This record gives sequence, structure tokens and C-alpha cells, in this order.
Amino acid sequence: MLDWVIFGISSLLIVAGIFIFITAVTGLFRFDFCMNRMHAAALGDTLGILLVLAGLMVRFGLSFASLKVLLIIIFFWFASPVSGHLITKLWHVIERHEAEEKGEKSVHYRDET
Amino acid sequence: MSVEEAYGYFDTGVLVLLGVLLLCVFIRVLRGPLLADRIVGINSIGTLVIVTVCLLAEKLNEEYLLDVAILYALVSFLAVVVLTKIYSGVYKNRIEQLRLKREREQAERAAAKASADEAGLLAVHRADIVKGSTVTDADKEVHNA
Repeated sequence: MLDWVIFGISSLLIVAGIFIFITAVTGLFRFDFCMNRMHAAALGDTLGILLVLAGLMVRFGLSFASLKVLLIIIFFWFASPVSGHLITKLWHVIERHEAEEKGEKSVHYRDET
Repeated sequence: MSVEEAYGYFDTGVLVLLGVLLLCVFIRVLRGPLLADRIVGINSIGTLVIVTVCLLAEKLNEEYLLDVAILYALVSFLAVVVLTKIYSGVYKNRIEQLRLKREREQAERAAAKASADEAGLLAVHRADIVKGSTVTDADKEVHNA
């Protein structure tokens, strides 16, 4: 009986995480601007990986493997937003370059710190 | 149906879904018009691979695959940071060169315009000199001697 309870809880969490991954990948395809796509991909990935790995922690039970999975979650939650912000900075530079090629003024200027 | 069979079917379904998602994101990597789209795609592919490896670690009952997942997360994060820094520098360099070229062209054009104006002015001045001159030939001989 306990096996079925564990199966139920972990399956629910993993299915929710996969649903969020599907939403994120759909957002990758449907948005028009690169900034929106980056937003969808980074945020969707972060939440999806939390839910899927939480479901996996339930399946592993109370052991050392669960701690390793928790470490993956914590590291990923620190690293993913940083990647997203760096990609956005690069996008601003690319937009400035395209405006410079065409010879028009661009709105992507900002004091760099 | 026993719990093991249920786990088997569920794991298969989830892994197939993750594979399909990987292919979809790969299409975005190939198609994306900007460079930033491709880097976003690579980040997403790395995340999906981490999830796949962790699920496989549970299914195959091997604990060391979780260490592989941690290392892959670190490496993919590092890759995104390095790529963005390098390409920021490259594009800023290109902007600088375009701006220098444009300034040089503008300077050349301004200089050409200025010399053309000057030539026009000199021509008018010379015509005036020739027309309204009161110096005779005798005076010119004295001056030259």
C-alpha cells in the first residue's frame, strides 16, 4: 500500500514538472522577440526541474541520493537566472549592432556598469 | 498490475516525452535568427539532459549518474557564461569598426565638398582678376625685370 502512495505522489510531481517543461518549450516557439523566448525558457526550466526532481526525491526515499538531488536543485536555482540575465545583455548588444549596420539610432543604450 | 509494472510504463512515457522535447528545442537552436536564440536553446537542452540523467539514475539503480548530472549542470552554466562574454566582446568590436568607418567616410565626404567649394571660389576669383584688371603690359615688364 505504501508503495502505491509513493508512486502516486512522485508521479503527480513528475507529471506537473513535465507539463511545465512542455509549456516552456511551447513558449520558445510562439513568442516573437528573443527576450520573451529567453524568459519563457529560463523560468519554465527552473520550475520544471524543481518539480521533477522533487518527485524523484520522493522515490529515492531518505538516503544519500536524495541529498545529491537536493544539491542539484539548489545549484540550478542559483545558476539559471544568472544565465538568463547574461543572455539578455548579449541580446542588447546584438540589437545595437543591427541598428548600427542599418545606420539608425537604437533604443538599446544604457549605462554599462 | 504490480507497482514495478506501473513504474515501468510511467518511466518509459516520461522519457519518451523528454526526448521529444529535446528534439523540439533543437529545432529552435537550428532556426533561431539571432545568436542569443541559439544560446537559449543550448541552455534548455542542458537542463533537459540533467532531468533525463536523473530519471535514468533512478530507473537503472545506479547512484553515480547523479554525480554526472551535477557536473553537467556546472559545465553547462559555465559554457553559457563564457559564450555570452566572448560574443559580447565580438559584437562590440564590430560596432566600433562600423562607427569608425562611418566617421571616416563622413570626413572624406566633408573634405571633398570643402575642396570643391574652394576650387569654385578660386575660379570665380580668377575670372574677376582677369576681367577687372588695370595692370597694362608695360607695367608687367617692369615688374618682371
